[in-house]
Amino acid sequence: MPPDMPASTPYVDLDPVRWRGILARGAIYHALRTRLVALGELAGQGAHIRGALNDLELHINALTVDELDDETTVRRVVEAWDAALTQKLGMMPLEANVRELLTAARTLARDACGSDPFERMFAQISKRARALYGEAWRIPTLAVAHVGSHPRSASLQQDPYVVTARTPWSPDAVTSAVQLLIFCDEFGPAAYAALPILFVHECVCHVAAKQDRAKNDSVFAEGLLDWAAYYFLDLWASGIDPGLSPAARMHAQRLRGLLCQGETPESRARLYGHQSAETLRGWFETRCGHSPHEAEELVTVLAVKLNQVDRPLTEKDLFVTKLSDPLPPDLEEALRAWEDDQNTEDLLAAAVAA
Amino acid sequence: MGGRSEHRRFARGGGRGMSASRVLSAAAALREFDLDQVAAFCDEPPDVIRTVLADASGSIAPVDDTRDRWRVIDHRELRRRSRAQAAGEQPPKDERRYQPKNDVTETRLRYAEQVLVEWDGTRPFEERRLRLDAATNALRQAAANLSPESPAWWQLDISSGDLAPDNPRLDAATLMRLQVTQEVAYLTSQELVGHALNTPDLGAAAQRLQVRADGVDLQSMFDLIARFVDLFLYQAAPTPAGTAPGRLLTALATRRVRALAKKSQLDGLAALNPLLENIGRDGKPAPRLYQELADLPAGRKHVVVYTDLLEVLPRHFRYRAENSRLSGALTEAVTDPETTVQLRMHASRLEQDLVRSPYGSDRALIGSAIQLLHQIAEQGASDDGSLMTRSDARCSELYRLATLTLA
Repeated sequence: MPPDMPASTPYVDLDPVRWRGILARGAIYHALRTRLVALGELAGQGAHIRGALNDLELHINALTVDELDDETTVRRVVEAWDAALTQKLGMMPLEANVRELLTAARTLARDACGSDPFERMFAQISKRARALYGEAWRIPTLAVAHVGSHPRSASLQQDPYVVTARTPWSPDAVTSAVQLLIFCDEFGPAAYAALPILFVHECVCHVAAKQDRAKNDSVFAEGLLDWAAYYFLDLWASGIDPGLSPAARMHAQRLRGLLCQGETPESRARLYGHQSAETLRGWFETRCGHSPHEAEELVTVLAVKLNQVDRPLTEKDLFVTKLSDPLPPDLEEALRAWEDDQNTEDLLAAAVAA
Repeated sequence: MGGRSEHRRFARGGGRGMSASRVLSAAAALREFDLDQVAAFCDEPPDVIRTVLADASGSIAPVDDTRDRWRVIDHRELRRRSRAQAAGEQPPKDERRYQPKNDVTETRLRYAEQVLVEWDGTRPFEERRLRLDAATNALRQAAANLSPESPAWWQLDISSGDLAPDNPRLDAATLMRLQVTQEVAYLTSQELVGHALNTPDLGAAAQRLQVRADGVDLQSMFDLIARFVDLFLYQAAPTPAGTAPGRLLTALATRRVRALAKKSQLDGLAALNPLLENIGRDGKPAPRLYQELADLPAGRKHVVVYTDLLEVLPRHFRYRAENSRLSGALTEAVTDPETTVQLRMHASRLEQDLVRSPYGSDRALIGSAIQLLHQIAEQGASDDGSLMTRSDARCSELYRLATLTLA
């Protein structure tokens, strides 16, 4: 850390005021995590929930400019919001479900604390991905940074997920760096609930990747592997955080829909890779007699193993483009051989052969 | 820990059977594994995993007598056990699963278009080959999906020109998209291996696109058609061993067609084959700056001349322009005797400049032409007040052509 950087931010790319703002949001959303689904749904339907979230924003903006430690900052925001919610609950005629939710939010928010929720969540996911990759794992560090606009330049109504993540490719065999980029001014409950899938994607798809370079339009890295990342998100969600898991799963699927619908090369690569994964899953089911779960698992194992093969990314992309129904006979043969011997390098070589 | 696991097993609706099924299934998929790897696939605690694996000892054995690494020894039996354990359990909850829209064809076609439009000729050969194969796979899959015969996609041949035969189910725009993507993929493949297409094949490609483009809004295919034009022009140009004047004319012609295609893709496509016919391929003579075709009465000549030389003649030098050749780089004209002398002289001077120039690039050749045209115009300016204006306009256009970026 540079000597002139205040000690009150754990991330060098975040100034202390931004950090306190994002910490307060994260800490409170974490405390509310069991109600994030309802909060998101009702916020879209009624002014009272939106109003309560606006109150929270106002208090965060007002109280995080003070040079206070993390714990005190979160406590002051919680106290202020608690008072605002109490007033709202006392004065306004509210529908029963809204009243119940705001009451629960007030109670849950009181448990918010100043420890870093992002690092905690990332550590849980990183631990599981490390087990998946074993010796191929690169130890990742998490960096959080602010971005000045929505990562997809969308409106909040269309796309509330004002967060994105990336893992710059590094030839370093031991370490890697995951960057979480947050448009802090609009960071809401939905974006918080989408963080698990972002972290799972980075850990499953990129941290341990053995390839020559990174490409955002890779149908393998952003497509087939991303499909596997959703498999693991589904599998790991309750282990990462049982309270957050319903919201994490729901928002992961919504984000998936948005990311696959875009008109960018990244979106097309994602959709292409997902379609290829579904084709392969169907092939394992119908041509090899596996159950749906077994087939899904085999696709995932194959994706993870391919990620560890030290070959150029274009070879892996070419493999993915061959996964179209019906599969070519030579690829079917290679896949059957892979099922027997698990030699993923041979499978890739067979798929890439001219 | 036990409570948490129990909770999850209960939540999945399977109890111990579900847990064992997950462990065995993960083991069967992994073939050789350690405890952490299986745990990553089933998210069960180590004690549960060890117990399940111990129960399946006939199908799984420790590797080298280690305690925490196993290998599948009877895959079929392990799968049978996994399924038996899973029997009776509820199917996986699929209601959350994302259902991709039925737009596989569109996804593939767009991917092929994207790879071909963003082609980076500076990447290593092997990478380009793989990228092209990926784009070709995607294109063939799209074409197979759109075909009423549903052919095997890997058997479709992109070189045949009929990847997108007339199909009444398809609109003209989709047929055009398929056609132009195919033509670009094929020309890219030829460029990749350094193979020059023969003139009939190249002309046929442009002809097919012209036919398909009829009545189609080409705006959405702008980049792809531009790429086709670039590839066509690259293929069309004769070998670089040609004479400097010939290369100047070829460079101007190809750049004019490229600029035309930017304004109107239909016009750009229409200009390709006339260019091909006059560019000096297949052993035909290279275009020249000045050539006399016939002697006419009263000392006049029927000539073909570099068009820009006509533009910088003072007005009292009389000529009648007839046909344009080589996308406007050359003009057929009937010239008076004095005009003939002037044109012959200027062409000779330019030819000497071009041949002597140590710089052989297209830009350098065009730069030499600009310099000489300007000198000629200055010499004649005292006889024609509008000459410098005409010359400046002509030189400006040449500057624009010189700086045009080509593939």
